[in-house]
Amino acid sequence: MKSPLFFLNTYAKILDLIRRGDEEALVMLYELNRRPVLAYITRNSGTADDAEDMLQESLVVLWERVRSGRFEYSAKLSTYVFGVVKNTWLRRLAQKRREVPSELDPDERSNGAPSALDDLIEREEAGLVRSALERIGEQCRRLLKLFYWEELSMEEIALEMGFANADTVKAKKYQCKKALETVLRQVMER
Amino acid sequence: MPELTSHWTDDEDLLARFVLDRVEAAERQQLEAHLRTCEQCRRAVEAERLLAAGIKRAGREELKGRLKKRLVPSKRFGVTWYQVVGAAATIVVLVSIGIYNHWFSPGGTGPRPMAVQQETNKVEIPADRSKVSEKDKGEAASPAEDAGTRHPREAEKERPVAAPSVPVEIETQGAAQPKAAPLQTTAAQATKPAESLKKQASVGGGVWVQGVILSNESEGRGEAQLQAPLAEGRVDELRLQKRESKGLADRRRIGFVGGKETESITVAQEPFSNLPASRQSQQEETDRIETLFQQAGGKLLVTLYLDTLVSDKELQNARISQIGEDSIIVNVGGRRVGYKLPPGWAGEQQTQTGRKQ
Repeated sequence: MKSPLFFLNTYAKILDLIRRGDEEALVMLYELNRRPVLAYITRNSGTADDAEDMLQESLVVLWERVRSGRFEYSAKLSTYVFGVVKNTWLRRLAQKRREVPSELDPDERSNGAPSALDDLIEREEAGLVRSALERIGEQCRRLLKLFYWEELSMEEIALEMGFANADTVKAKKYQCKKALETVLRQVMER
Repeated sequence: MPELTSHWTDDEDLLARFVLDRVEAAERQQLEAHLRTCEQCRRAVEAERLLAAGIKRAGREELKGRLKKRLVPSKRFGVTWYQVVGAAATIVVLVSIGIYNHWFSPGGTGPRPMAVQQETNKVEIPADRSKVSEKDKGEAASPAEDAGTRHPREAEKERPVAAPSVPVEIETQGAAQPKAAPLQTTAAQATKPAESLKKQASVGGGVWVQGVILSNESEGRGEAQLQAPLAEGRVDELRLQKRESKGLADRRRIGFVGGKETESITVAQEPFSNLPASRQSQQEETDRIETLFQQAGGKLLVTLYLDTLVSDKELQNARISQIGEDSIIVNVGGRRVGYKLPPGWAGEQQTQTGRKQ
């Protein structure tokens, strides 16, 4: 068996890479988790594609949590990833089980989870924002993602994007957001 | 906290923190109380939420896309066309090796010159062989009328595909009858593998064993984890040999593995994606390496199915530490992998070891 030190070193390295925005960390984690995830998903009514999807999804969740500074987990990273996979997969299975035909009321809620309609609306809205994002400059796109998605602080964004300081980032972010809103309005009016 | 007499949503920073859930509980309560009375603020919050959610979703999808690109197809779950080609090529190579061993190896089980047998009308046992295989048994029992005019390989082609040969003893009792050569199997039962081993052996024969990745710190301790009977003073460092280039002439006895004399060991590797699905589903621990052990004619082939392949140099520098008759540690690519082989596992593969060289 690998010693605890082995995992500690590996996971510390992976976390450090994620904090620095190096996506290679996800490849490493993918490698460490693919076998157990494949075994779990295929044993639980899923396919290899489902397994891949679940694992990638969980890695994205981890990425978000670590980048935003919300990751507080003392166990092995693999345990965390596997936990996310399990929860996500069980949720998806539950959704499949209670899937309703489209002609029925999709707004029907069960156990307080977002309804299919909520999900649809959210996806459509997100699609609009995404289209709008593609129409603003690369720098603005990146800055807004760092701020809203990865939830980096102004100081961190300044460091990562090479701005002079946090105030510069703040001003730039304001401009970018206004630009995005303008484009979004145009997209929605179509 | 801004004065809530004005619209707090005018504060860009506060608005973002509220939507991103980065405000304290008390502050949140205060802000929400204001929202209940301010339609304009609610709209501002809703717009900010929409923006944040859209950007988040875009970020996730893009990251997933990049991740997919970074993962080379061989590392992903699905089976790609070149994995299929790779598997086919492996089969071709294995079949070729089998044909080579069967026909050209000095100890091979290929047919003997039947012309001589016909002339003397008896089964000739080569001077250096006291045991022949079941195939040879079938051959000796087959009609010999055209054996003198046909090349042995042609006769071989017409034979049905034989099961793996099992060493048998031949008693020669005068002239052999064309259809019932007086053959008696005495070693067949002894070489039959246990049922449990049959279950373990799958692709191309051999036995699957899950190797345990041992930490370097566990050197000396890892052996105990294998629960192997530690043989007193029998810790042999075995340098591995390259397989194909070595002829029978330079074979040397280098140890016992699985209770069988082993003359050369070859370590090979395959990408994990080539592992049969039945074995993949058994792989739940990340510190295990699925490995196929195949033994024939004193040669041991150890094939490790690795997520990340090691370099050729590392493979050539692989070392084996034997820590008992059934337990070994393979050192390859900076990893130490321990194996406990099931007792008698090599039985099915011992078709050539029964022969005298």
